[in-house]
Amino acid sequence: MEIKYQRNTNGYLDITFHPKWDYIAITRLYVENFLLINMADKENIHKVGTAASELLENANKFSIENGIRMIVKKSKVDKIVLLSVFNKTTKENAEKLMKRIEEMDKWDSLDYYIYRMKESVKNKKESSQLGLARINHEGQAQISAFFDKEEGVIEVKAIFCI
Amino acid sequence: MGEIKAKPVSNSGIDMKATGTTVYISGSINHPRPGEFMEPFIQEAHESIVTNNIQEIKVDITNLKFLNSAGIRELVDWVMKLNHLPEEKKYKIEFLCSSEHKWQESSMSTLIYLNSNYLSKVTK
Repeated sequence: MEIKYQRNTNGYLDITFHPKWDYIAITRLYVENFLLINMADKENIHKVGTAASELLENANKFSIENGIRMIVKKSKVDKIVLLSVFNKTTKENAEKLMKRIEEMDKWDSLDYYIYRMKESVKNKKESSQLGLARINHEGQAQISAFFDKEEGVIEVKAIFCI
Repeated sequence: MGEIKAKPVSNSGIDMKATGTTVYISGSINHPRPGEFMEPFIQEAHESIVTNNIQEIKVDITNLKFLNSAGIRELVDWVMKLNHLPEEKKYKIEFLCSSEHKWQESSMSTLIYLNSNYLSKVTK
């Protein structure tokens, strides 16, 4: 069996777990500890940890099959941390999420976060849908998503300049 | 001066209580539906503040290690309740934050934009 990982990074983490909600908090703490190696700024570490938590929560909510994968990569060349979360989902869910990212990109990050905050309390039966806006504004991350139609897997990626 | 009366909550590693005119929220909020226990507490506290004509309260989150976005929504909901009150019933909320928990600076700064006349924060 080959153990796959990406070389030439300042740190590479690849975790796959069953989407049990209770694992999200310990994964966030693990990511924050992982980032402490080669990174000094606690604020940046916290931003990535919070984003990991928010993306894992989304993946947990919308996963149609058990299993969530998360990759964290610290670039050796640029001052960048890349966070990717993968889960199986429906085409409809994937399209909804990608549309949300498209909508978010048209706004100033603070204005959009405030707009989403106000929207989130209008229908409390639904999930808050604040996570992406939070990562976008508080984490100042560049967010994108890719849906593999054949595999039915969505990847949500957040890039942080640290 | 009146006191905030609200039944304390201790659930899933989160504690919420009111003492005098200060609300304390501590622990780590990772729950998928924190509204199940946050909302009744906040509603009771809000009604007590309005009934007792309390003009200013503090919300101490210095021991709140983490708050997910579902938890942020509960605080937004509280602010919206405040915003919908008639002017003479509105009260000020001062959030007491800790510089140790990095999320507090960014999250609470954004929350304050929802009503900068009545919301403020102090970081210890």
